[in-house]
Amino acid sequence: MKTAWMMLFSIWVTCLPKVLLAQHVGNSDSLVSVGVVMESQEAERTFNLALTRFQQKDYPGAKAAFSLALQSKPGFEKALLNRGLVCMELREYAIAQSDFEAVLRINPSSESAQLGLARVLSNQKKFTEAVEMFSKLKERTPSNHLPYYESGMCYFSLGDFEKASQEFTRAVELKPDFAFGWNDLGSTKRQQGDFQGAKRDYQKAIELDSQFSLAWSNLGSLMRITQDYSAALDAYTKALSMDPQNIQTLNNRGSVLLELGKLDLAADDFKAATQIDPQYAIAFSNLGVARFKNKDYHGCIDACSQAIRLDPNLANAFLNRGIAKEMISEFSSACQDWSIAAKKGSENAKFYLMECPTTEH
Amino acid sequence: MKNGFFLVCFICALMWSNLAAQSRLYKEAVLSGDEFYDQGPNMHRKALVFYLRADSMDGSRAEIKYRIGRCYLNSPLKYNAQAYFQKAFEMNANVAFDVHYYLGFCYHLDSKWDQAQVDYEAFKSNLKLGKKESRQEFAEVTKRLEEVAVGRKLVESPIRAQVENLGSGINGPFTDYSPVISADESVLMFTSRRINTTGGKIDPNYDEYFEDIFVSNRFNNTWSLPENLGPPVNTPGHDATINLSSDGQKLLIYIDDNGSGNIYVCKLEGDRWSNPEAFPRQISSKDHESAASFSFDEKTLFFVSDRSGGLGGSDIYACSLDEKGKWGEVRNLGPSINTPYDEQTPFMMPDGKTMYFSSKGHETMGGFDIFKAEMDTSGNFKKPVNIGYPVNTPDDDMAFVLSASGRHGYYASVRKEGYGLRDIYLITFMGKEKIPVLTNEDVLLAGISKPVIETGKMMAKAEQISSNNVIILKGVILDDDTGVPLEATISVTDNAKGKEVASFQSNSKTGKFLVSLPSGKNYGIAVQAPSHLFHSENIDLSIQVENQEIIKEIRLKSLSAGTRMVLRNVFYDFDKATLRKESIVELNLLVKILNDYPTMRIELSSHTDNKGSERYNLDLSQRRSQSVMDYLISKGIKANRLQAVGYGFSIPIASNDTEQGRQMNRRTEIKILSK
Repeated sequence: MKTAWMMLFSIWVTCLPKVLLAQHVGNSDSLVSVGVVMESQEAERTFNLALTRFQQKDYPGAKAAFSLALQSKPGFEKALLNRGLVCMELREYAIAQSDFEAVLRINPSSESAQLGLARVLSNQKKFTEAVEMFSKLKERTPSNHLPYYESGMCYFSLGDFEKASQEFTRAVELKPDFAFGWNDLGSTKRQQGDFQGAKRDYQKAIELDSQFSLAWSNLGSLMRITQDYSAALDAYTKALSMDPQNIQTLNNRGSVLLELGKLDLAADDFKAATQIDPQYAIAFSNLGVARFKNKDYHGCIDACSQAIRLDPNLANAFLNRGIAKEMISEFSSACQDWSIAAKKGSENAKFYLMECPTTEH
Repeated sequence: MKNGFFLVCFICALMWSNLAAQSRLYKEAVLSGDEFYDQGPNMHRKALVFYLRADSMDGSRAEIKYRIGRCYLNSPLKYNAQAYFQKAFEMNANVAFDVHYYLGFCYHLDSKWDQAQVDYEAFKSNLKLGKKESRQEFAEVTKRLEEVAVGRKLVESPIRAQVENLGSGINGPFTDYSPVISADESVLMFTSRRINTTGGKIDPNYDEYFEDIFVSNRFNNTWSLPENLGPPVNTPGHDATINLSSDGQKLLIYIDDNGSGNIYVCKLEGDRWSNPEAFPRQISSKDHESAASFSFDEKTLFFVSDRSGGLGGSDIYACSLDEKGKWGEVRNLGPSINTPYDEQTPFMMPDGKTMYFSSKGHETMGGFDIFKAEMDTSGNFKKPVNIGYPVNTPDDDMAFVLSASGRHGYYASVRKEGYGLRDIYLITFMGKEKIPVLTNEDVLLAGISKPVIETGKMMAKAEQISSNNVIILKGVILDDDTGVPLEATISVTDNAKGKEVASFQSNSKTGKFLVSLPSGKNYGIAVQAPSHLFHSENIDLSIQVENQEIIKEIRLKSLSAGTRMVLRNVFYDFDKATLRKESIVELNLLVKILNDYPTMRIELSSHTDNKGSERYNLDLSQRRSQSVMDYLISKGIKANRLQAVGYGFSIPIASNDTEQGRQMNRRTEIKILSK
């Protein structure tokens, strides 16, 4: 009992952010004045506490604790680095960038800070600057596959699939068992229209890591694109067995089930995705399609309306709702929906609008 | 016995009389039915009443059931016919030579193509082709079989259109047909044979009310109750809608003209329609003209006539205005439009080249179907196209008009769900088939879904902390004289640095305190309360220690002569009298007391354990107490208030047999000599 009490107290002490704390505890009969003395390693202790909070995924708490450590010990390089990384998790990129830059002023050779800074730039969609930063890392550590890989992601995001492919290829050359690299190389080939090459790379990623759900999911999408719906269904199902809460995979499997005419199962997947994430507009729009194919036009309109409420820029939700409205003879309203869908870029809607009176465009 | 005999005879007579009466009633019903039946299809509805009565009295006659089937076919309840033909056939397969034909026809109307085909073919196979009547019947059933084939094909690939009855507000239990609409679909005119037609009489030839034109207006997508258009358009005879010009200013109507049937035009003058004006004789001939449509420029009239010289039945003709504005010669639209069967109800589109019309002769799925024909650049119509199912049905579909938007069509159709013999329906054309689009998204890059190196792995590792162990010092502070709890100040000093690191108050009510001391340091604890001599403790945690709890009852002594106290945080170098810096904090507390009580005099004494000789220890202790005294003097305390004494090991406070005891004996004390 005594030991447990001591442990609890010790934890409490460890968690205290201040140098000194005194308070009264207990009832009136046992009033005790409590005092805590902290050691001079206050900044280090707070730093360690911040790490604990990070491991508990309490990112705001971790950030606050790293900041406290920095207050106690300005220029605490490790705290600066870690706060930067926590801020990346929190998508507070400006702070993250400032922290990494501060680390590099203290220690210009910090690889972690360089990588962090490059990633911040990438996350801020400053891909060209990020590529430059990754290039420096490549020069410093030419055998490290990571700068190539991350550089490839930047090129991919810039739509330069040729360069992305080169970078991913180099990454997997340097580290042949790098499943992420094979997956992303496959995705690059998919974007380049090399479906066979993409399939091989996804399969390589899966071979290296059979539990790599994203690679299974991407293989499923590749099969979906090439209209091999049975294979797509198998791959998505495999991915979901590893990552059952993945809303994109659920949504994509629903689409494949719809293509296979399994309307009820498709609707189940779309509903499951919306139950996991009630803000997932795309699944609502697709649920509308499933209902449409079941001739439940009012149900389709309801689902698409929900999708539109969640994402007023989802052109397909407007398009589909318009199609359902046409089926229940609400032509004017259908034309209005197609008009919005067309303005949001739907080519089909532009085509359908030709059937509408010009006043409804 | 005799009475019994008479009773039996009476009952038999009564039964005989009843049977005879029933037989008479049955015969009367059959005869009445036959009388109407033989007058032709238009009288079959009247015959039906009598045949049904006869059948209810005696349901064993197949022929009556057959006739009931025939009568039903000419009534609004034509779908009842099938069961009677079926029963008649079951009772007597030879009930009528054409029972298979009518069974086939019933299936045909019900779109039961396979069954229709079986019965039509059975009928066809029984025909004797040598007879003229049989040849006609052969041609007719052959056409029906073609219609079945067309129907099967059209139903397999329906057009994107929805057909809906305009509802009981427009359609009634009678016959409603020939709709015409204004360009904006706000006005609907149609022909009806309902109860409130002008004159209120029934046409004996059809057993229906005379035709009149009715009008309905649409407000908020709802059609108003139809009103009789009244004179001068409607008369006690047959007055029927034909078409409305594109500009809505001219209404083409049909007037019976004692059976010859002619086309007239009424012009809208303000909000009234003018008296009907006849067309010249080349159009309104002695023959029957029943339908027409203006071209978009109203310079040509397309009309229907059964005049001689046509291709058979009623045909569609055209007549154009000449340069002087007079109607010219009439021309048959020829075999591309007209067939040996009837063509009816042309409707010219405002584009000037598209014509919709009804035909029994082209590829229909049964009865009249609606066709679309387009005029080529030379003014000739191309081959008409059946506009398809679900607009066309196995029964009559006629009088099609199209809204200016092209979105809606109106026409008369005979359908199972109708309210009367023929109803007006709204067609909504859906345009091209529209496929809803699925939306998919993929997270293609693994590094986006999950960082290639998790942030945690990039993080700088935890700092080494000297110890996480904590010593808990707890207890109570009491007045030594009274035992009353005291609120005292507990100062914690890092002796190594000579700095106070924390300061607390004991609880004012209970005197209790609890202090957490992380290990790794040598702590000096000083407890002070007003009017009391301070108390000192030394807790040396500079060596790593396990978690532990130290309980102390600290009794603070009052500041009075004779009071003693051990200065536990006064340290000397080993075997020397040199004060170590860790002693400064506690000695400064002593300086403070001496400053607070400027008349106070104290003895400073130093004690040793029993290691070494007495002389040596006496000397060491004397020198040590002198060192303390020197420090106090250096802080401004006058020497005459201080007395330094070395006692050696002469006044132990613990056993010198143990290290702990010896440690306690090595000490520096103060004693208040006077306040």
